[in-house]
Amino acid sequence: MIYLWRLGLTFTLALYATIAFGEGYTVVPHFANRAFITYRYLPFSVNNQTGNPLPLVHVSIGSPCAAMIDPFRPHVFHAVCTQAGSFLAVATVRGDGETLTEVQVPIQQVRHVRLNEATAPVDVEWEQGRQLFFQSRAGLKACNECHGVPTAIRVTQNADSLAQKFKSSASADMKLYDNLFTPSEQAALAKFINKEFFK
Amino acid sequence: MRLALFALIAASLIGAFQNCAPDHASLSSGSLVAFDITGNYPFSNDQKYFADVQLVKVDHVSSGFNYQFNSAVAPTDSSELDFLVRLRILDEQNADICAPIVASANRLSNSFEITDCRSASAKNKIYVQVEAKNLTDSEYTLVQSYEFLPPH
Repeated sequence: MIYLWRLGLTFTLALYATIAFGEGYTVVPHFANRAFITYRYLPFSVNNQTGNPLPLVHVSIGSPCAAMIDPFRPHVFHAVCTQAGSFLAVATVRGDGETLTEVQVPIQQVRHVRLNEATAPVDVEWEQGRQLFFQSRAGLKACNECHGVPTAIRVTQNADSLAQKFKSSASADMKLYDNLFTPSEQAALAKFINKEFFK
Repeated sequence: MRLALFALIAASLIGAFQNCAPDHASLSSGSLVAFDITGNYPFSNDQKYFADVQLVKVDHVSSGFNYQFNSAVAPTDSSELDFLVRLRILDEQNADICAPIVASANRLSNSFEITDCRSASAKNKIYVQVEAKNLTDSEYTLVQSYEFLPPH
């Protein structure tokens, strides 16, 4: 009988040790609390006692928020709330020694400041192309100075076709741009041209 | 006695696994339809900084329009180092609407409120570029760009 009691107690203690509850772990919000506003992806990490971020296994949060583990950074999760307020996420991390630990993550004083729904991040490569299109370089005209209206560019482009244009165009002006842009800049320019002039 | 032992173990098991169960509130309150967090995920693999900008307010002022923004920029890793942020607010012709904002940031201070960005004319589109760099870097890197369609 004593053996059975010990067995049960050991089993119970082992179970609690496997699913620990976050003592000794530090929740690290990447954004300062002042940046907690609705519709913003709020990144968090959970660090162990030595300050190293732990890989996340699962994260959950109730309405009006949603949470996800970052697809590229397994140590980071994001919470997004669609209403103002204070909320609580629960992150399960794989701690030292493979122990699964649930950590409570308070997300406090989320404010609503957004004016409208028109906020959208744009493609970084497209944005680089947009900048290049409007910037003069090496004392030459910016692209938009000659190609400022949609009809001025008649066919879609890619990095190679743009390079070819600069190299062998009938226009002496265009040849001045030969080797002026890197291949990645040409790709960015092409992306902007295609999206802007061939919607 | 045996019954008491089994009851103790069963109670312990129930107590332990209750914490693994889904949050009842989240199942019943419609969180699944609230926001498509994975579908709207805005960051890429090679980004060194998380960033976000939101248009907060458009005011009619005597000299035209004033645009207000709220932004945040933070490293994707656990760096504690200071870094520099530059925010450029541009129109469709890539011209600065107002002077770029340059600020020092770190893990504890990385939220920026732009309250004074004035334009004589109404802008159909506004772009906000977020750039950042380490203190030792010579040039800024474009982190993210945002397009806004401000109401007037």
